[in-house]
Amino acid sequence: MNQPAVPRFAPEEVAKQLGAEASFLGAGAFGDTWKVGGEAVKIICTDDYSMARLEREVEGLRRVSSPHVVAFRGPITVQLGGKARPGLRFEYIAGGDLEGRIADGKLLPPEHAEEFLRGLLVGVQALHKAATIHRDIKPANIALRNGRWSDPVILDLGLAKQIDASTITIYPGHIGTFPYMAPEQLIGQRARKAADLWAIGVTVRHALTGNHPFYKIENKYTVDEAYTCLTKGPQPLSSNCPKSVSAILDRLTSVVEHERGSVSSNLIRLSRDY
Amino acid sequence: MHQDEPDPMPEEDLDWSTGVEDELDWPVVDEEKLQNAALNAYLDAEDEYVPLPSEDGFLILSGDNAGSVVTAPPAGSVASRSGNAPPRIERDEALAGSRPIYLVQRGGRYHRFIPRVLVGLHASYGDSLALGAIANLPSANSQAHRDFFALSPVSALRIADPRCYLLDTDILRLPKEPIKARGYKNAPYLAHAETSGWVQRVLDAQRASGANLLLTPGRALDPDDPQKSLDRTYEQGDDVLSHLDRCERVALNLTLPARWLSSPALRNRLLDQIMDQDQFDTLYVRVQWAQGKAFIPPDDAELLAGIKKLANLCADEERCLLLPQTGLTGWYSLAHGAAGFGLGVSGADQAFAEYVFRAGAKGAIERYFERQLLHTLDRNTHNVLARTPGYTRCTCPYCPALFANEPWSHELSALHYLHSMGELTAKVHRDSARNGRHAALRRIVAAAQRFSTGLPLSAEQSPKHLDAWGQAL
Repeated sequence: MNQPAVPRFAPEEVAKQLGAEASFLGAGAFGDTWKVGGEAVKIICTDDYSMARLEREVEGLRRVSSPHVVAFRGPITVQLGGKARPGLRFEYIAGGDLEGRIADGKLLPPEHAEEFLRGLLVGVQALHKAATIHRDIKPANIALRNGRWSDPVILDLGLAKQIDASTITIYPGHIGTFPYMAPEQLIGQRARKAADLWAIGVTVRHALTGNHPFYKIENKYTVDEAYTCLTKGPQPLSSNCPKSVSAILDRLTSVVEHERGSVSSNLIRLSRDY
Repeated sequence: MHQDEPDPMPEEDLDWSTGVEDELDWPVVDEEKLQNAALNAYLDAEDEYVPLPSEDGFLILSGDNAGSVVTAPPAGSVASRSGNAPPRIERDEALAGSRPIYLVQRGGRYHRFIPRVLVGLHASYGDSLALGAIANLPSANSQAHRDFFALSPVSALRIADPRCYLLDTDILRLPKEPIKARGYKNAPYLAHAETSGWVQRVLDAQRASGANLLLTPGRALDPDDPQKSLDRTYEQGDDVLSHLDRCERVALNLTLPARWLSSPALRNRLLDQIMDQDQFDTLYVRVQWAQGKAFIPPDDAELLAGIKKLANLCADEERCLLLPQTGLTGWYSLAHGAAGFGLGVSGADQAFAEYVFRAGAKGAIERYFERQLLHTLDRNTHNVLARTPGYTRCTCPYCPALFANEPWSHELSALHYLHSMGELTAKVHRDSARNGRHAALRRIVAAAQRFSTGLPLSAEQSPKHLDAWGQAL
């Protein structure tokens, strides 16, 4: 997840309201995440985010059960800044996220690519079966359980994204979401299951090479420029990437939604020998 | 086979799109008074049965009870030399897709012969085919449909098509007033479309007719308002799902002008939606394309590419794709992943083609389906072809009587066609053991192309679709 300089609320106040010591993990567009005991608690900090809306959004999360999706423990309400703030309780996965690993140069070894990709697909499959679309899969939202590439865990579920992509300039190095947006999301179309598959493809490619497959970190892009980059196709993978994995990744980063296939069909392909 | 050109509409109550036009074009056939020697010769043949060991019963192939399953063969009947019949399969096994699905429309005039065609196909090819029968709901009352299905016990799938697309005259090219008074009487839901409880009534009408695979209403998808149209169709589909009883199966019924498949932008939108909305494991897709000559499949490369992509996607995503009213084109689609296709005797049942009014009746043309050529020709051309080196005469149950007698029997020619297409469908399955259906069908098409080379056929008679298929395969 993104790392702002300071949390929106003082740690002492958060710890007092949560009834336990709280350490700041990071922040996203809508709230801050804290480690409280063995849980990660995401507190929604935007003022107009109602509890009723949160309940609707998390209804699907209650049905998700997968070792590759962070376990949802339930909603809470926290008094912070003089207001009741809704929040979500998840299991805490130690070891940091994939974004931090990539920044530290700890890239995905090719020999672990297949199991890592499979884990992500299985996790997204569980989400889709629960009629939930993540819409924000990216390295910052992926952890490795026990530090194992075979056990990726998808984080940060169930929050609506209200970003108007057509009016925002993209800074790949500064905003964590847009670089992993599917082409249809970039041009303002609704995100469907295929958007999660795109994001998996981009994320795994990034984890393998250390570089974003479509954008250069130092550049700024308008939405149109970004879309053009996507239509030109990704940077090629190295030759030591298993063929089964590279074939799936090529499919997942297809600009045409249906050409990405479903999670199920890609899992079947991954299990076949290429 | 009678030529069913989309030419004349001699009677103002002609119901083109319900496929009943045959019945209204000619006098009602009274079998007892037939002067058709060929058909009489066939019907007068010995009653033949084949054992059905899996059920301790017998399939009746010919005679008065042709098409039925009985516990004892009729007195005086003879056992078929074809051996035992394979076990019948049920709906879910058919939809599981281990063998291609062959759907035959009830149609109008020849519907009483459909059961015997189906049972004959089952007896010979039942291990390689899943059979189905489609009844057109507006064309007859529910009891007539139940009776038809009851006479088709080898049909794993029984579909009562609600034909709600008849309401979409602004999207499809349909005749003026496509629904007649009789249609509204047989399918009253057509008079109250989109009202409260409408979806339930559409389902109930299918249930009352004895269908075992239900369909969503199937209004036409509007290419000029694509996403709204798709969303409405899927919303109705979800509504149908909510009304299903346990053990009921439903197919998402899509009616598309051909532009949906031939235009890349529209096609992508359609396929994206199909991919995303995976609550339907079976799709029943009817495509309206421009009408060329009757019984001649389209050779439009863009349309064929679109059908291929649709079939590919459904196969990849394990959706069962059924293409009713597609005739030879539907058979071709098996190569790309379609699970099944449908046809019938009339031109309307062959292809869901755009209605074009043409003045002036041309009368009946004696046509014959050349299996070796994957093409329908007139009788005179057949006679020339039959003397060509390498020509193989058809040995179906109908051709001996057809060619041994005069005058030409359109009924037997029609039955020959239905049987031949079933046989070709079974052949795709049987030959697929080597390299899959795609390779099997490609070999059949290649053989037809080789046979067609050098034949004395005019440009108009040539099977142009073979070249288009060959390139696409």
